[in-house]
Amino acid sequence: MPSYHPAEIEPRWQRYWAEHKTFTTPDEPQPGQTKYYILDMFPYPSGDGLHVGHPEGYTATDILARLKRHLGCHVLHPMGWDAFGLPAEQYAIKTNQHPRKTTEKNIATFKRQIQALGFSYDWDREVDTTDPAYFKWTQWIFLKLYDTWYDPELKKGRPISELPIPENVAAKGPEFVAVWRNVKRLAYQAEVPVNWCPAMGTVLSNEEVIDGKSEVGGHPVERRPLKQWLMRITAYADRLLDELEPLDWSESIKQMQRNWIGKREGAEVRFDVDPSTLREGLELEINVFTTRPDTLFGATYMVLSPEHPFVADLATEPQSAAVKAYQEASSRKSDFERTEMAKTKTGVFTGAYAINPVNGVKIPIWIADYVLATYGTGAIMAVPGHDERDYEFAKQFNLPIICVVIPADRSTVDLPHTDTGIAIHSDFLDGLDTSAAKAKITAWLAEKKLGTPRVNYKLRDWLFSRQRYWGEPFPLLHELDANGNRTGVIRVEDKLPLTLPVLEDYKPTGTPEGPLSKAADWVNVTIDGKQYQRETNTMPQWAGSCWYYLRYIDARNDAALADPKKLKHWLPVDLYIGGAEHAVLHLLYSRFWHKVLYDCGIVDCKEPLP
Amino acid sequence: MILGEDNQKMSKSRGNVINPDEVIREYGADALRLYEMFMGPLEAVKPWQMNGVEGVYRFLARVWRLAIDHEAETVTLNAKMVDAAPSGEVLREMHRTIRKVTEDTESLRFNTAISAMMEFTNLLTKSEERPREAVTMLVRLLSPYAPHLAEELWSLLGNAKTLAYEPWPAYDPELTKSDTIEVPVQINGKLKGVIAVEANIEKDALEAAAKADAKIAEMLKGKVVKKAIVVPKKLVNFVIG
Repeated sequence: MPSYHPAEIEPRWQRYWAEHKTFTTPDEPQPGQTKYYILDMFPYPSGDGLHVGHPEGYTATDILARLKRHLGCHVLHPMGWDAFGLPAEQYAIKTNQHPRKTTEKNIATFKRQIQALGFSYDWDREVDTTDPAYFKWTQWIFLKLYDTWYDPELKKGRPISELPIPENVAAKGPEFVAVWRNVKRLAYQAEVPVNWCPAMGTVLSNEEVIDGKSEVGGHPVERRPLKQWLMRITAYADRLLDELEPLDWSESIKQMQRNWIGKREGAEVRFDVDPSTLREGLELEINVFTTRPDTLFGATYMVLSPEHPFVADLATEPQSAAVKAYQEASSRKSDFERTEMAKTKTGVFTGAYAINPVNGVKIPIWIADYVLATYGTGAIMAVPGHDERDYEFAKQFNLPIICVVIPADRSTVDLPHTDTGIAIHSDFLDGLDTSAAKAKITAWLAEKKLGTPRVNYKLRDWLFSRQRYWGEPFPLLHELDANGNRTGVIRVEDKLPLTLPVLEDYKPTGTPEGPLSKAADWVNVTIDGKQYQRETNTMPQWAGSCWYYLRYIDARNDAALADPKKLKHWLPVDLYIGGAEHAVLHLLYSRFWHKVLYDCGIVDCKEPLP
Repeated sequence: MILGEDNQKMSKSRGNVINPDEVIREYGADALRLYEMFMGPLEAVKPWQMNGVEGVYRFLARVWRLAIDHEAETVTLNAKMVDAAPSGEVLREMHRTIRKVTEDTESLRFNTAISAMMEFTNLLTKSEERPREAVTMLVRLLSPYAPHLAEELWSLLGNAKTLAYEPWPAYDPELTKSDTIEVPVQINGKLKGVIAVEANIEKDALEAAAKADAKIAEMLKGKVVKKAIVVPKKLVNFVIG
């Protein structure tokens, strides 16, 4: 029966390759061999198994890997599993079995399916982010970040032990020194407004919230300030931008990175609140960031985000009920709904007025949810003549619109005129072009101590904690005082990996502590007679996927993340194929961790991909 | 990105998910791999079509039959395979195919590399005598794309070791040049220029190439071509008023 019969041929060769370890990559290259590292985006092993979309990228990389072997290269082509994540946990909640079980089953399915396609992976380097032998090093990298501060002078991350401590802080004792260090670490805790879903008992990302409800299950979601772990990625914003330039990537991917970082140069301007509209004895000043200080004469009102800390003080008696109702309503919307999706602008007048610092004009202060608390200072000066959103808002609420910039060719102006041009109705700026006007007003503001030049970024610090079970535990302990309250002192776990406790059930607690808090024996620890509580948040799925390309290089090393010699040989990755959905955040987070590891001397190239 | 057969993103709720296991059972992993790469550039969004898999499966079966006698009782090499070295068109096409597959694969243009291998297969299928070297060359080029079939044929062609680390074939640049000839172009019977074209160019394409020549185009500008006399390989003559 000598017709073409793949069902007979293919499994036989797959067995041959496995038995002969045909695609096992030796650590040492042969003389004259050049290295070629081909990386796939590793999959999340879902319960549904592979669909035919998955092998598209894998086939492309496999063809290249095989070609490079024929061409005599030392080829590294590995595969692994990005296996922490919500679906396995939700399945565990439903069936009350450990997520490890479903994860193992799903990995087995994915592996069988991938192997049936004849990909030439070196399976001896397989990694699984949920394997304690792997996440030992995820936790280790976390501790590196925890132990590092960013020195803006040297433009690099340095050990926290090298952080200069001001004398007056040192004089107050070790607790103050500890606090001083904590606020500078690259991994730090802070209160931030988050999308909290009480029914699921967890924080959700903006993308997971639709119409004020969770994407999965349709449960109500509210904005709530919570103490969370964050990564100080903003400290690396300039390096993430500048070091992008020499890379041999497509311009579209570079642009996506630049847009996400969103560097903008401008000025921070101080507006005093008219004291006659405030409670007796109260004085408030509102700082705003603007990239167009040249349009200050056109600022006819101000808008604060509903979460701005001044809102309660600004709301006058007749307005306070409306203000409260509005704050309540916007707490149920995600950032995305508030900005990108909002078709009509909403807002409420606080009753208070601010004074425009350039001309002394009293302008009304509104709150509106198109201004985000986390963006800039959480407050804006509205220049409806020259900004789309401010214009729409002014039209909606009948607020004054003044034209202060006309086109450079002095043709008729069509408002809102968002482009640059020549200043008019702007006193001492009249007749200047936009860049000259910006320079003049910025200098004027600085001289009068009403403002300072500022660089602002759209990039926010990275929310790094999740109230879930199926993630890497933080290797940190909170010290308790005699009354069982946290002292604020944090102790680092002595031994890694810190593994997850087994729970009776995996249901969320409905509190921000997360399911790990249910494991009392695991949470409460005594060391040298001191009481500690383990951190009960877990890390986001990004943590394990940020650095998997490093572990493949030395996947079974128990003494180090990877042998430095091997890292030097294989890095950077030569070819990476992943979906466009990974071109922004995944890539940005990976680049950030890579740069920190570079500063720590772990890797010796600045970028993971050339 | 690959969409479902209904041109929608694959999702469980739409019921349009295609499981690779089924495709492999029906057509094999090599056909699935080849089809996914033949669908178009990686960055393009394209719908799945099962008859497309069928098409590449038939191509792989043709490759099989180049080397294997499918009418024999047991696996036997095809008697049409001869030890004589490739020559003439087969030799030139062999070197052109190596060049095309090498260059296209390195720049991730997998679909055009596959097309080149298909064309070469058709040429060998048509030929009465198939130089063994040419068939072996096709197997080597196919190795990154359809590794199971390539290993199997490589082994049946008498090689003991895996194909995975065999050196990649080189091509002779001289042999990859296509044959070009020079054709005179006349206007009203007077020689106005000479164009270089491929030897086997079609009549219409030859006329178009003559019109596209910068010098000729300038001379024809604003004129009405009453008649074009085109003699392939020999001459183009434009009659103008």
